[in-house]
Amino acid sequence: MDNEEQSETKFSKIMNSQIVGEPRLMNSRLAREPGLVNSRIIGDLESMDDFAAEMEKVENALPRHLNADPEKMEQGLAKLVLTVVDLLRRLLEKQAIRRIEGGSLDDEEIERLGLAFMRMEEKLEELKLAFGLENEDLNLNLGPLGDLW
Amino acid sequence: MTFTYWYAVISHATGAGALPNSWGPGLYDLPLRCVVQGELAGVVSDWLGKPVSRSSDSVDPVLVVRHEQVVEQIMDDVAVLPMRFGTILHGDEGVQAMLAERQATLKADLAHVAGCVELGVRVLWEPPAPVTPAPEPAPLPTPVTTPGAQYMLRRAAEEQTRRAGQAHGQALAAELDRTLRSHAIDARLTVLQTERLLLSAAYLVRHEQTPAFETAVEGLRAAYAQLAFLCSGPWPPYHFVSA
Repeated sequence: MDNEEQSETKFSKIMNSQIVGEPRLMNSRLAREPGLVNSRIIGDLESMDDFAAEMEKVENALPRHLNADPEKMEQGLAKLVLTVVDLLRRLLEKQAIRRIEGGSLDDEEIERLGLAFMRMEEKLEELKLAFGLENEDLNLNLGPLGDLW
Repeated sequence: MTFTYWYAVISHATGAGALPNSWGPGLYDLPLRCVVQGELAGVVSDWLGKPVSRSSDSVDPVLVVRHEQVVEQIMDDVAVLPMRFGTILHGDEGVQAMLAERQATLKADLAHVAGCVELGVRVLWEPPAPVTPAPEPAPLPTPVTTPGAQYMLRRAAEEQTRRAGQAHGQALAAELDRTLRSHAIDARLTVLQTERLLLSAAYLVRHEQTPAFETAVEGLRAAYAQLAFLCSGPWPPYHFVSA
């Protein structure tokens, strides 16, 4: 990809939601339309790379379609299941923290919960390793609510 | 089965009679026409029956551009509610049915956006680094010596740091929004959609207020040198059509 195409791709990632009311609709060729995109941007243009990277994260937060490749399907399924398990673990952990902060758990209960969460985290790490997944793979963008974590 | 491609909603009063040549043609160079229902009209064209993709991997940019150009040409002449790219219904009856079902809401939306354009604002920040040492968590009942309690103590400290960062981001975004909103009549905001994307917003701005809004963005850039701003537009008011 040459520099011009790279620049157009960045514009596209940043501008797509303005043009079509939702992400994902543009590709690099759109920015070639005279006056449609490039002439309508002001601001810190030197940070285009950073803006494009963040928009890409938003766009890629959820898979657009199921990958039917048998070799990838297993990983996709593992990603989905582990994301849900990790979500539940984090929610339970936050609830436990609130209860600790509220003083409603005694020493023994805190220790027991802490050990349970520790082991759950260790097990999740093992499974992520087994399926070739990174932490970022288990994050979800919840739209207006932001990232899962 | 025939299909109808839907570009926008306008008032029937402004859409009556022949459509201006400047609005069309539509996708695949097909002529535009109006489908009238009550006090509203849908600007549509025939659809050739091909499936349309909204995915950036497979969408045809020529179609996206044409859709946008049609909507913008209409916006130059009359108040418009833009439809999302790829809105295809079963014939004109499908458009009429939707216009009938949502007549009151769409009329209110049309009145709301009349004379206005949409301006997009995105702001990046560097999230505050975790405080070192971590903020003191709530005291545990007794000194921590066991692994489970140590784990929970560490998690509690991390959670407090995260909450503090989020609160700081929310407050900063609210400050920026206060300034920008004073030049707008409505806004749709998303705060901290990613760790660095502090604010992603669409502002509904009266057309004549656009320069003042852009000046306000430049003012914020000067006042918040640690943030990066992008302002884009004017666009049709995509974010201000009720779902």
